Amino acid sequence: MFFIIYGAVEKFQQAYTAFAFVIGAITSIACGAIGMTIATYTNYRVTFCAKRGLADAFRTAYRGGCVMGFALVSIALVSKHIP
Amino acid sequence: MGLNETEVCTNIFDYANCNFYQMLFESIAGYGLGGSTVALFGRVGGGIYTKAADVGADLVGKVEKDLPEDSPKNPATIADNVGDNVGDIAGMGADLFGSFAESTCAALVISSNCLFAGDGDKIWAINSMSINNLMFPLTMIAFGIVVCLITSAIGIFVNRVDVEKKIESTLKYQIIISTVLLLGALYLAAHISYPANYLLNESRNFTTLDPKQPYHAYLCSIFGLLSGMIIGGFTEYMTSHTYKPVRELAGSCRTGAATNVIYGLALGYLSTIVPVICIALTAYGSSKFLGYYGVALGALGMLSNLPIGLAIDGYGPISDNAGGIAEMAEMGEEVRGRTDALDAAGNTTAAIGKGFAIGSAALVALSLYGGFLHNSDLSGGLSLTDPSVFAGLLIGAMLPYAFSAFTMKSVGKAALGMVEEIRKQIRENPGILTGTVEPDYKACIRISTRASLIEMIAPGCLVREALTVGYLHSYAAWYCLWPQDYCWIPSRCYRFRSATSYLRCQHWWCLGQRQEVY
Repeated sequence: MFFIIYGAVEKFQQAYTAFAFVIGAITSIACGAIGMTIATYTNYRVTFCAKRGLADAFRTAYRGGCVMGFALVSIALVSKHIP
Repeated sequence: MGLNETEVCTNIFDYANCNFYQMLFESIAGYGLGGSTVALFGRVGGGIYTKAADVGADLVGKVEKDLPEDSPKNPATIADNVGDNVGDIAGMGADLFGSFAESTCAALVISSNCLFAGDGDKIWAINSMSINNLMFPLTMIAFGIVVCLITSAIGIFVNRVDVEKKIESTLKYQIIISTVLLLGALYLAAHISYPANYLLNESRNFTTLDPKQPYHAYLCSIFGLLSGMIIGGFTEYMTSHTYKPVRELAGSCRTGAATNVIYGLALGYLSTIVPVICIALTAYGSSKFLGYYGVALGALGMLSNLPIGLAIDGYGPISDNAGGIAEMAEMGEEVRGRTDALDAAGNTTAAIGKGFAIGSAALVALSLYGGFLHNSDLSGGLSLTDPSVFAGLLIGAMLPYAFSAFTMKSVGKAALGMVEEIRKQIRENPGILTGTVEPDYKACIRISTRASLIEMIAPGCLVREALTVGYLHSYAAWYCLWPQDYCWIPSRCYRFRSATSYLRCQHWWCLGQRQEVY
């Protein structure tokens, strides 16, 4: 990855592209991390809700998924404006 | 804010003859590349981790020692549950993010090159589009987020899931509702973004300028949206236990494991027919309307209800882990039954998300290739009789198989290590099986982590290698030629030519690879 960035800056004079590449890589990592945090945060809550009933458990699990989905897409949209 | 800053820069540095937005959007292309580079490692590493843990835990736990799924007596249980998070949430999230970023970037890059403002009759009145007009891909995403917000609110607050049968249908209706709402929302987005008339420039030298209206862009994105829904529906038909294919597969187990494996493999191959036809139709239809830009819009349309797709995807591993926690905490049969019902629906719907990701990736590869053709001014297209193109195509078709072979071998190796570790622990500590001694969970996690990190190197190199070979060769040709004739202009031409031919190869390779992966 270092070589790609170095090559982009030195050989092709495209510092902006290299910058965008780094932003893309960082946001991609961040998305994975956010997803994992949300998942671990939600899954024991789902277990607890399953004691009370199926409806609550489903609602909690689906909400967890929604948090991840919206966070990820919003990050993708916002970070397009940075480069 | 960033856009304004660079706009100021253009006033200082006078980019003569250079379209500013073209440069800006070509820089953004790096964003998609960065996203998908990380996604590659996330997907491969996460995949090896989760499958090694899964296979190892099941082989010893279920087959040999007769332990239930996710039993705390199994040393690999924790690794298995962590693997669900790493592979199915982080890996899949990064993967879909990569596809998404790539398709947006492809649409932006091509639009900056191909779209111009002006009426059809007055060719001399060509202007570049304003930034607001070029932002249609981003407007689409924004409308998608709003629509998905409404849809998920319906799913959570209005709908009440009280019986097991309703879980799967609720998730299915989420996709259908969001698609129907997006049909209207995208029409609005197209009319807000585009002027009533604009021009599509299919070649670099302005020879073919087609007048277009906003509804062309709308139709392209709708093709993608609808084919995404059909792919989702068909995936559900093939993977859900309520329909015939899975029931037949279960029936084939009666005659033994071999028939099961053969039948399952056949079913897997069969399931590619409808999605591939859908993608082909989308690519054909949308390129009829807006050329390669239309294909990029089709890919984006397929991903425009991504928040819902991701929510359904994320729901699967969450309920899977909830089941694991219920088992480990010994919460009782009732709770375990509920989480199992949630999990079964999650497994089916997770397959739908994969269909979306790969379907759109195929379209993106095609549109990126079109963008490359446009930028390199190969307006005549590429011929299959050209040996370099054909060689690239063949190598590209081979690579996914090599790639899968590498990763499957890695999983096999890591799973073997895991099995040996579990057996060793149980042999040395018989108390583990009776529940009196706590097994060493960390050892199993260490095996999975190490395997996923080390085994990722070879497949990662395979992808990079193809790119490096192309570049190295073009430079090598240059240096060989240079001392021979001291006039360096021809040598530069030659270098350029060989570089483009290799790039061509690579684009064919990318295209072949994407299609083959499917």
